[in-house]
Amino acid sequence: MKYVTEYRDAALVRGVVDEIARVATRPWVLMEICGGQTHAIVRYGLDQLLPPLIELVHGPGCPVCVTPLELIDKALAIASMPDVIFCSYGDMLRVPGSARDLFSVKASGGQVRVVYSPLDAVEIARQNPDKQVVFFAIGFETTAPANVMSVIAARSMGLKNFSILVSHVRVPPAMHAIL
Amino acid sequence: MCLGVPGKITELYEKGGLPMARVDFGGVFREACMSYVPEATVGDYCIIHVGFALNLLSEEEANETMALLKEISDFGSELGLDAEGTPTAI
Repeated sequence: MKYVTEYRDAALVRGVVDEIARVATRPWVLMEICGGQTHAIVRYGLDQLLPPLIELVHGPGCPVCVTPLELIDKALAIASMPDVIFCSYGDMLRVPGSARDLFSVKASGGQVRVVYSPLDAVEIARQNPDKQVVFFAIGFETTAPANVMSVIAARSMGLKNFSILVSHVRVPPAMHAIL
Repeated sequence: MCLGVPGKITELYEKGGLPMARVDFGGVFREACMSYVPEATVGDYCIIHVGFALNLLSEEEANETMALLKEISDFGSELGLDAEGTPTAI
């Protein structure tokens, strides 16, 4: 199957593993932040392929994978409303809620739009004064300021149809708990 | 969204009351908001995340990051992968 079998090529994998072994000349402790990465590493046994000098520590999860189920369900309910344009970073579209995901809401006719920047959502609100535009503001320390700036921009433009569904999380407390 | 990419500021302007920039990511140009890095000037390098500049980089740091990205891409082509990590020889 295209894009599946090519990735299961033992020779390719061996090439990468050999290169890692060649450059790993002292002990390394690496932490992956994202739970999606942890899932892939454990599922495919990548940790067992690595040379013993490399130790993997599983991190706290990223804003995408630690978004509470309750909030995803809220997002799905809002996105399904007829007068709403729901804007989200693309990563969130396939994160499952209790029964479905944003992608399936979009497929069944909901107005779900992928934005690159929170300011794109503000622009959509400006162009659609007859709709309520809701931005799914997920993120940790690096993303929260960008999300918040969308509110400041919407207010300074006098928009009344823009709101955000907030799910901001902090990394350092989770890191302290793990380490 | 979990990406921060270095780019070079080629133009600064205001849009909707916000300071914005045109940023060159190795030949691909995107708009970014400069609200959090007001000291930036044309020619500076910065890390862009979800359309916002997070911080300034020295040219040396930016080149180092870009060289690392290129190294990953070159290593991929040695293994028969394209720039996206997709095998080219199928």
